[in-house]
Amino acid sequence: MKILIIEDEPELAKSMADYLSNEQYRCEIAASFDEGFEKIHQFSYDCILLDLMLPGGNGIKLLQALKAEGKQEGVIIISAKNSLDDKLYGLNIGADDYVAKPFHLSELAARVYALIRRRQFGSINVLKHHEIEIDIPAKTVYVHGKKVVLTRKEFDLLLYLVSNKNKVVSKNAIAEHLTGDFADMLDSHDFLYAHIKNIKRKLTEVGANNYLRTIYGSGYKWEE
Amino acid sequence: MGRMSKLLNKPLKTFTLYALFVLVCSIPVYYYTVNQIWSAELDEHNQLLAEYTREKFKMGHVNTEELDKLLDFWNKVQPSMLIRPFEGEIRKDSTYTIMRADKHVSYEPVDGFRGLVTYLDINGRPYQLTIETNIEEAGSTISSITLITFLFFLILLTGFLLLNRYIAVKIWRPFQITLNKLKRFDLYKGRKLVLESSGIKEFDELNVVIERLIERNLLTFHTQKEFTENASHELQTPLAIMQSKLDLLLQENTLSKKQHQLIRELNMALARASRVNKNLLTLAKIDNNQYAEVEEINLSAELTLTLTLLSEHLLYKDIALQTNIQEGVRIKANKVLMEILIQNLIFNAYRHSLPGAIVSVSLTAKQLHIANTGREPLNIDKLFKRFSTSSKNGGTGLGLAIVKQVCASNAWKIYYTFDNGLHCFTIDFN
Repeated sequence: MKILIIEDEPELAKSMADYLSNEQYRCEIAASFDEGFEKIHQFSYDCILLDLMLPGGNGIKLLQALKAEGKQEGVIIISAKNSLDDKLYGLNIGADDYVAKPFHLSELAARVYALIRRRQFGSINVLKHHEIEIDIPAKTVYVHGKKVVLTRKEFDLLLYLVSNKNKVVSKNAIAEHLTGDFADMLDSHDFLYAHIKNIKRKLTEVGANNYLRTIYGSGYKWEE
Repeated sequence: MGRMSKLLNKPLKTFTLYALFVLVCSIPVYYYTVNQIWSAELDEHNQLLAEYTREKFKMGHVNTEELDKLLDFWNKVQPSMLIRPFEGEIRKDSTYTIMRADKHVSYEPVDGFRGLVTYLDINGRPYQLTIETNIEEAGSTISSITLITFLFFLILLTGFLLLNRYIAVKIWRPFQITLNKLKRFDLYKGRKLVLESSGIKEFDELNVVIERLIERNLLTFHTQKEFTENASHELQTPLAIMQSKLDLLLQENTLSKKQHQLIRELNMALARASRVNKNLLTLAKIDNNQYAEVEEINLSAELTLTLTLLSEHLLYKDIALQTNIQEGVRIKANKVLMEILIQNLIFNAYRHSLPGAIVSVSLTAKQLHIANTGREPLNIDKLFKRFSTSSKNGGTGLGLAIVKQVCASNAWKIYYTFDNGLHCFTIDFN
């Protein structure tokens, strides 16, 4: 799988590539409008991460060019503008998702993988991890084929952690993922602990191994 | 503020006092003049009478005895004229004014008379002729003049008042127009103030100065707004880089517990920096009028939704929620701003509540009321100002400033009260 990162800030592009790359995914970086245009034109990718403010032109134009060429790549807009207009406009002309700067890499990864899976598998989108099966469109989880009843938040949290397999996900990132803008206003992340505990309990009750590790109070990690 | 008087009333008072002064001074002048004219006229009249009498006596020849009888009789029937034989040195004619009772008139105790004393020669003997003519006495002249003067003063005063009102309306019209425009002027709307020429030099000068002043203000305001917006945008990227590097650092396998702790603390601080930045951007956008789109919002539903999202967190913090939300309250506003407003107020109440506290939310078509248990009143002067509230609870010091700005942009009134140990924030929608 190939991911194209069109981002003029080298440090940020490097971080994204670093985090997203693994045995399954390979990342390429384009640092300007022209470079991005060339890459889009020449190659095909599974997902394109697109910054809107680029040297040499607006990222929106790249998106338009992409659509005009009939390319099927999934596109996630990454913007510093955090403006609703940009977001709506971007989604309207064919972007699949929108992430505002600053963001957590785990959030970006979850979105990238979700987008790729969605485009790849459509409605039969089941994420398998040993004995655990996560049916993403149906929002249900099976262990050894047995259905586990999770709340919506627990499901979101599980999917988020599994999407960031073998990565430590910080509590901040999880809180933001689960509560959106509210995370700003919460003064503690204690509520996460209850959700994590519930997930662990519900999965192990039906015979799943415990893959969820707490990392020194700073975050959680879903291990292989 | 002390008692205020209108500008035009000040000269009016002075003018009125001056008019009163002049009129009062005119009373003795009038009196003196009238008296002089009277006296002169009467003296002339008396003189004519005397001349006439003298002529008549020259023509008729009577002997002395008859004459005495005649004069006796004359003096009896002609009270204003007295002819008596005179012995002594004949002086020049003299005039005088006298106040005395009139024997023939009983209704006035004292009357004024103008007299002439002259001398006649009848049959070679000297006679003194005294003629007295009734003259208006000083008192009644003065009182008549005073009365008329005050009557004129009243007419003047009424005229002054009416003219003053008329002038106030007419002359000050350009000023009032300027004043009204200034009152309606809102820097945040960023529109230039256009003041029309009135054709009056002073007002036009004032208008030009005001326009220039406002233009400078607008420029400063724009610069400041742009600066805030640009600064926030510029900060997004380094914040994003820091966040990404921290996320990567967290993936290192060799991190100690202590290092994990440090990363966690860095994450918290970074989240706060991002939040401040985001809120600054929101404020800049509100100031820029970028949330101008208005739609009808079901406020009851929005409020309930936010409370549902919060309920889990209230539970963890052991905070009791009391709600009294009227169903189907709809309001015209910008949806994004409305959400920000509700979230800021409700989460503010949540964040500043200690375990065991109560958060109460009530909504009617007219009012939104959010209260939470507190220890002591907050400083009202600082409450809604940017960065003036303490951020020790992890706040950004901008939440309430945003709330206030949202209220201002919708012309709602927001106020804070502290009673019965409750911090209360109330928004009046009307």
